[in-house]
Amino acid sequence: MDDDDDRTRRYRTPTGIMQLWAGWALGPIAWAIHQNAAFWIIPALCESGSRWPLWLITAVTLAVAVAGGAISHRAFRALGSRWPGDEAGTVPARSRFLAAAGVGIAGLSSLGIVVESVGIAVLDLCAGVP
Amino acid sequence: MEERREAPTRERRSEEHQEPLHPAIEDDAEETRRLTETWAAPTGFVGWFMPVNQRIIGRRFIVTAFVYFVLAGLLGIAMRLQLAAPENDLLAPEIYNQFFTVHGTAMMFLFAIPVLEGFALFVVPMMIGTRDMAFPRLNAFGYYVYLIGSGVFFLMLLVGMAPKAGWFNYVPLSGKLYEPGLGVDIWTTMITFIEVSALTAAVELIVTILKLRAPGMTLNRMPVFVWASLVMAFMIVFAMPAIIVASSLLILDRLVGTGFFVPEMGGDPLLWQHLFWFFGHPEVYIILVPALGMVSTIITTFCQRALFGYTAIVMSIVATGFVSFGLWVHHMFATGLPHLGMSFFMAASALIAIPNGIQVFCWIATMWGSRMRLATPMLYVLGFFWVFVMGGLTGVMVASIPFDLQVHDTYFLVAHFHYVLIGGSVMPVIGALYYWYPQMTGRMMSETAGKISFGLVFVGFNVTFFPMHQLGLEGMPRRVYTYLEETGWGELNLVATIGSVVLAAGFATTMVNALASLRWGETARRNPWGAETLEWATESPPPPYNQRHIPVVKSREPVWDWREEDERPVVVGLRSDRREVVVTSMLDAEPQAVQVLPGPTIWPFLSALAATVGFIGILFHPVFFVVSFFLAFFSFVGWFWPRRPWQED
Amino acid sequence: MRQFAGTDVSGLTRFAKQTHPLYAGIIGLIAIELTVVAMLVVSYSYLMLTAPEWPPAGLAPAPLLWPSVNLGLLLTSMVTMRWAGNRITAGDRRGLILGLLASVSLHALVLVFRALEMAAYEFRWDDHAYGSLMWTISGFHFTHVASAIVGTLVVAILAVKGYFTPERQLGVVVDTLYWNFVSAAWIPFYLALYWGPRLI
Repeated sequence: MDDDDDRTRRYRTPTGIMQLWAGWALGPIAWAIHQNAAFWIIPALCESGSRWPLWLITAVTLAVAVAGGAISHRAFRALGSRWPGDEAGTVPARSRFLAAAGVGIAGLSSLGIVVESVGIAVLDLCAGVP
Repeated sequence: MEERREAPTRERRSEEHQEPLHPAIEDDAEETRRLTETWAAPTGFVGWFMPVNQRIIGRRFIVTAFVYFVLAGLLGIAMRLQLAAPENDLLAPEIYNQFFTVHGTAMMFLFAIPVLEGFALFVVPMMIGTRDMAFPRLNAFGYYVYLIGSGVFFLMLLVGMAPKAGWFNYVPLSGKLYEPGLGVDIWTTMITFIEVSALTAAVELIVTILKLRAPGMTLNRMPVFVWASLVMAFMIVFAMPAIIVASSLLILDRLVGTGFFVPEMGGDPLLWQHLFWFFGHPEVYIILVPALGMVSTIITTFCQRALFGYTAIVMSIVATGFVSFGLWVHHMFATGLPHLGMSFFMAASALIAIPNGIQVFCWIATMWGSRMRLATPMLYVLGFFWVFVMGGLTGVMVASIPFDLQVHDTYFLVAHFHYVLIGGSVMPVIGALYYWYPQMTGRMMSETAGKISFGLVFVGFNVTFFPMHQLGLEGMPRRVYTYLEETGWGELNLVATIGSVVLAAGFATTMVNALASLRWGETARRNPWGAETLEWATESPPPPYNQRHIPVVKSREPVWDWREEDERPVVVGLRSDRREVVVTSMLDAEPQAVQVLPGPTIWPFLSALAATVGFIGILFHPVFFVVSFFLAFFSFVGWFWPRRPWQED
Repeated sequence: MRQFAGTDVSGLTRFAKQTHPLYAGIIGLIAIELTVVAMLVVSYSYLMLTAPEWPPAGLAPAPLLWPSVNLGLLLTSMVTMRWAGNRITAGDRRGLILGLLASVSLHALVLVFRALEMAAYEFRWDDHAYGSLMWTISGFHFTHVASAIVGTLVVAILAVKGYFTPERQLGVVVDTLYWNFVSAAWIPFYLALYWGPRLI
């Protein structure tokens, strides 16, 4: 299993490990920034009347979340695109697990950003602003 | 059983299998005796304040929490009796307000968090195959802080000085103007106190789980309950500081006249709501997440097959933890925030149904076609399914702003959160009590009583809380001590009260069962349920050192492996004359070092007393802040001061 | 059931430093406290941004000089602490003691400056929300610096008694970790309290 030896070496290095966690970290962070930045900025935007900063926040954070998922997905492919089971070889197995979960977490975060942005398209910017 | 584990699993393990010629290890009786002596907890009255062993502390958390469960439950029954008929005068309005405040506060802070922490403290170290928590003395400190804080808080009810502003203490109702007296003061300081206990437990759980796992237990082999405890601990770390800050600001407003929440001084009452719910929403997931872990554990054991979709379940638990931090504004839909801003939280609130749905489907897939053993823990899990899914459905309903505004602060909400809290948390906890009881006491709880208890709880619960949905839709507001006859709410309230008595009888059956089984319960066999995780790889109850040898793990179901192979690899080279455990790396659990743990001591108790002097004294004079700073400092020095002979190797 | 040796740990170190669980535990403590810091900064910013005037009418933003000096002192003390740790790793006990005492002196100086600065505030905590925040956050940081001082003094006493060796120095390592947090925690407060009102 030469492949697995390579993978073991690679996913023990800090760079390799960071790739595995990318989806776990970048997805939720981007989503949290999106939600908070967009939430708190609304009163100021209502005064100025423009909603493009909301779209900008959405685009940037969505890009970050998707990038996190993509990095995890690349690692997932480099690990043989197999769904993680309880298989032999400790490092490749846990790397597969972390990468797959990272794709899922980043995916859910991206979905969160997308559904949150629906309101930006349809709702009145100033409704309810005190 | 065997044919139910996939063939590749077995193949894989034979691949990784150790050379069969490894010499066997025979246990030396003298060595075992020395190990027992090293790990033994002190006895006697003073000894009660000294033990640091994880199972003793965990058990104390669980027992104390159940005492508050009973007490707060009785308050709930009293409220139900008051509401059984219109214009009833069993409880005066003043008393009723104290009762619902203490009921909510106690159930959340004094029961739910500590009981789940308690189970985590009790089970997790055994499940990961180690002998104690990473910081045993801190563990003991956390318990005393909880015991003192909760005791003082509850005593306020006996002297009629309990807070009356509800468990979330909205300002200005909880300000000095509308709530004079000590009630809210005690609430804020004691809640901070109990949160300190939760935070110590959280840090310990994180470090123990990440650093003390048995060699070979890589992250993807960690039992789901351990994952759930880990997520819970991280959530506590990032959620609890918000309530500590909030209640500190509130106590300053009340004691020294600061103006954080006072509009005339430039403060803002909404700041309280933001801070409180930034803690308060993760809080409900803090008590849900470990319960989900319990459900996964119980399903695996009673279906006797590996959990379907381990990765998906772990991912869902982690995602639930993250998303729960982005929901707090949905408690504030009626406060007049920008509509567009609230829509983000409405979206996130609906989104959290996805990870939870994934888990439910994984559980169904695990149970599908298995020969399920319907013992009491499994019955409670099945009850959990019905009740929790119901609560989840109403949760998605109230996530929608228009609907929420309709039912805000009505009994619909009361029904919803009792469905998620009792269904999502209490029922798995009771199931877990039956499940882990043998490891706590060495005996089994009565199955007959367990089944009766489940029947009563399930029927009683639904009869109590289902009608409340309708009451809420009819407009009955929560937190009213009575209602007029013309409202027509009398019948449904009577039904709910009857149900609550049945529900209480069900819980009482379990409590009596737990007490009676201490004495008359059947003696537990080794691994009585045939479970797969490491807490069962030792006697029931385990010896003070948990396991004779720390095991080496090669899969997610180590105990089942050993059952098939009839041999197991273990760690050698730990000394038996002092408390040693193996430190392993975070991702792959490769041995890195050996940690020498401290033994029993009274210093954590003294530190807890020092902190108490500060927290209570400050209500009377600011000088106690300084006094307690130095008292705590001296007790910490006593705690950490290295005793001779200094460790040399 | 047959048991055999899967792994032998008798040769592993009993004096771990960065791999010791206590190191991870202190990081956990710092994570908690950082969240508290964040909550305080959020509360400050929330009230600042919703207020019509910040600081309230008639007040100028608090002067920058002394807080900036304190920032310098706190950051310098991180360097002296690090130096102290390096000395004991090299087996130099005197250097360790010197480094610890230098760091403690720098923090003590900060306490003096802070106390003078707070005594010169033209407002009380019960005047307005701005005053409440200034006093509360200052008090929070003051208490932390004080506890870092007394904690490090204990470490210094142990150093004098000869407890620390190049091997047995976990106490110094974790004390430094917490010290760094306390010193660096001033940065967000400094930015929020002193630069926030100037920038909005």
